[in-house]
Amino acid sequence: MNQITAEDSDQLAKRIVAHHSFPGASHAAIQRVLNKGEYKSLPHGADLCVEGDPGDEIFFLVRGNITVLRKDINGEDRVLSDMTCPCVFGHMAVVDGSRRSATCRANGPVEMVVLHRRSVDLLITEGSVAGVALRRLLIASLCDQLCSANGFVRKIVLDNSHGDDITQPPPATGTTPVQPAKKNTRVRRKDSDEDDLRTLSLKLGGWEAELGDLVDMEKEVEYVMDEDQRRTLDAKKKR
Amino acid sequence: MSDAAQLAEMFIFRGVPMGSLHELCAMAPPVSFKPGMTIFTQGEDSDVALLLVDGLLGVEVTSAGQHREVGQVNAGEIVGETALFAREGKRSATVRALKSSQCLLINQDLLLNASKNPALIAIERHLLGTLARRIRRTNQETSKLWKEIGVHTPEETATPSIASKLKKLFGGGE
Repeated sequence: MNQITAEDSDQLAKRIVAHHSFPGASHAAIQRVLNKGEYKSLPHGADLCVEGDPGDEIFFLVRGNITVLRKDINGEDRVLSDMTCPCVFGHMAVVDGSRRSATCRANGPVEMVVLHRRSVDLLITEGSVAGVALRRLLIASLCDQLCSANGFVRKIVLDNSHGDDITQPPPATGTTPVQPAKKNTRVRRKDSDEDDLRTLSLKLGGWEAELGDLVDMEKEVEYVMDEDQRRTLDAKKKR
Repeated sequence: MSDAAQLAEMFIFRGVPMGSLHELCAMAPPVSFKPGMTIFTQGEDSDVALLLVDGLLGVEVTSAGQHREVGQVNAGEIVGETALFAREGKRSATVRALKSSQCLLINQDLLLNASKNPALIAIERHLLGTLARRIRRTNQETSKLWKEIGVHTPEETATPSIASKLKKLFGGGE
């Protein structure tokens, strides 16, 4: 297995620490993490990971640029973002065992350190210097990613709201007056469509309010139980 | 019941030795909040996260001069973690105690001095999973948005409009 050179590892670790200021971040600790990974280089256009595939690797970009893509409803690739060094990516699928949520494609030749799942699984349960560093680096990266994702949603909403106030609370179905149809719909108002339009308007109002919640609350509350919690609850119910 | 015994009953601390929980409580004794007390204020600088041990918290956001309750925090959940790990250092929401609540305050000192404590490792691992789920949910919303935007874009005539979907669902002709 190829390893990153001491010089590259030193430089990348310094840049990561400068970029993510998590508690206990140290250049030496990040270097230890990088030394557990495999060094790889890929040509322009190569996919590091593909949306929908299982994910067993975390990537640390050493050199080059990565384009992050997701498929839209029509199956066309949409560029979510571009990433440059220093960045860590691909960790969501490894953390929660889900499939890749986006495709990462080399935009020009790239060099990276690949940390495989078996190493990650070991490190994130450890109290070692490398374990603490990796765990907190991933948390810091996910926090930034969440803030950025929320900002992205905010931008889409604002770009398509045509001046509508998305901060208004959702209408309570059955008690709220009919909302006007949104300007960016293709619905033509006809008397015979009144009932449908009422339903449509309420739906749109609620939808935008939901997005308002999502956009506004970066510290949103997690109601979803993890799989272990769910299994425990199910077992209790059965008993 | 001692503080450590109370932590031992929490799901996220399953398998964590009692000694580690005692150590955690000694370093960060749980703090109590009475109902109505404000714990975090939107827009303020932040340097601490909370693990809710017992009770209930409410999360409010002020936007365009309007206060809205946007969620609740239940026992076992963490709130305010971006204060410690993200580059943005301001509170994006106000958090109040809705019931008498006990919280573990997670600050820089604790993270620096107890980094090898299995109880703190358990909290950090719990946080990893929570953040991943939140991001997935945001991604799902992004996909939904693209879908909705696609429906509303005039040039995408092949895609059925919401109105036509509703007509199909509830009946009614063109």
